[in-house]
Amino acid sequence: MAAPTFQRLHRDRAAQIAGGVLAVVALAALLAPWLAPFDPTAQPDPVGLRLAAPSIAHPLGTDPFSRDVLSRMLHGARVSLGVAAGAMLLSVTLGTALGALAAMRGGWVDSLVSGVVDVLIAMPRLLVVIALVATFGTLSPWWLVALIGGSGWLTTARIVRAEMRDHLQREYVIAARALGAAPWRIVWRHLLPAAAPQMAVAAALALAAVIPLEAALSFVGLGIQPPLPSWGNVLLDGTDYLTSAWWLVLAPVGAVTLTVGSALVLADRLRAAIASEAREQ
Amino acid sequence: MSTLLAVEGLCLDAMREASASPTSILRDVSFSLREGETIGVLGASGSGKTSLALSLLALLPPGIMARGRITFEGHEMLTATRGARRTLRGRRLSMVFQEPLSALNPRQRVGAQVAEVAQAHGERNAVRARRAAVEMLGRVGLADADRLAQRFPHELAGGERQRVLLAAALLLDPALLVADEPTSALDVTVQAQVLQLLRAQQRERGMALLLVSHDLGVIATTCERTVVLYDGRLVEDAPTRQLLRSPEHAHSRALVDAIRPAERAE
Repeated sequence: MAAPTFQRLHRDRAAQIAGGVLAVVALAALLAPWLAPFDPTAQPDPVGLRLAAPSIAHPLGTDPFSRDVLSRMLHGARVSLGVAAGAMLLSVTLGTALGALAAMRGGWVDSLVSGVVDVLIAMPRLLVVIALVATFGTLSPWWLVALIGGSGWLTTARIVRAEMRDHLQREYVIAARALGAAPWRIVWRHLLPAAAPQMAVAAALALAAVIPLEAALSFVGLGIQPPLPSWGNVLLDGTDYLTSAWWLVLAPVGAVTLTVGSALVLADRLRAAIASEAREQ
Repeated sequence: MSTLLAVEGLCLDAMREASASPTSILRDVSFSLREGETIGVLGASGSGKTSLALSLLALLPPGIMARGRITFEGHEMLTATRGARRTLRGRRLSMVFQEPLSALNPRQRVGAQVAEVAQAHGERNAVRARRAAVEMLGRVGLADADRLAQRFPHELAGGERQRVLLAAALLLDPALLVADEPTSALDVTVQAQVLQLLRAQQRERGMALLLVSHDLGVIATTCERTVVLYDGRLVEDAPTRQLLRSPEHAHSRALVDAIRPAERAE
């Protein structure tokens, strides 16, 4: 049952902590303009403040251009998490629509969708995205959302299709059909609510997958373009100084790890909640 | 009165795998039903009763092939378009199922599930659909229907759930109700109440009723006519009273003897 599954999650300690971390990170991203102590692109003193170690004024130090790393991380969170959230929403929506289509129509439509999923899922996503970006040149954040989201619907489609096919054979769906419900109504009123917990797992996993993807693209210089900060290019700025200015690397790596880790914990606890729900039925 | 439903030479075959030969579920079944008539379909489990009921609404699961003709109010159910079938289901012919708990969506309040029938047939106004649903829940004998409509299926008793299903099936006043073992999952006392309600609603609406059951007792108290299914064939079609008095087929005789051992011994 949908509602009890999510209620169960509310009482789960690990899920609470992971959800809290994600909420704090999201809030920090939203409030970046007010929280950030400096302009993320300002270079106040490229000589004197170059690669300054963490201090009271600059809690996460400065980068090779004397920019404040904390401010860059906060503003970078907006970009990185914005792209990630957009891509996640796009991939989950796309995956749900195609999974539902395959489950409902069956026949050749199902074979086609499932076949495409099977082929595309075998391709390494990062390499495909890099190849596409390289073809189109550098991309605006919107195109990045489209590209990352558009390449991530496969697992969601698989999960939604399997879940809906299972429920399609249950008596309550047959009963709804016996009383004249049209396919779209069955999807909307019966199958989507039934698949919601599994879709939430897919969404958490999608989020965990796209954050490093965006960071990786920005890191190799194909994602978010400087001077606009993102977690990926903050890391890029820091790699050359790994031994001398560790804070430059620690901040973005820590942020990505914390966020992705929280999303993974949330997905795991949600799965556990679904499983224990199923056991009790 | 005119013929409402005609089943002619209906054969159902289950296709297990493409290579294997199909298993026959029903063989050459024919019978008809007049408007307002009550008919019982009697058979042991595995005799093809449920498949027969589902085929009347063209709701056979994938993998079961149907041959023959099913004519309902002039519509060929087996060959009609999906849209045509959909407008008939729930509005002209409805079905209630054996296990009310699994026939209701566990995630949805029961009032919404009854109202859904009206919405599926063109009621745009959600408030009106809901009001009709609550009224119908009251008419199938559920007390405090307004509050009950807000509950989830697992919060109701078995008899209440079956009444909810019945309310959904009867909401749009269908000409035929197909009831597949509607009381088998219920306690004996509740069973009697639900059967009584079924009869009362049938009479009040002048609706035809096709009651599928393995229990001759249930059919005897509810249906004017009885057809007996045995091993996928229709072996007897007679007024229920006559069937009880002088069953023709050996299988019918066994069923009759089973419920009236004392009487028949005299």
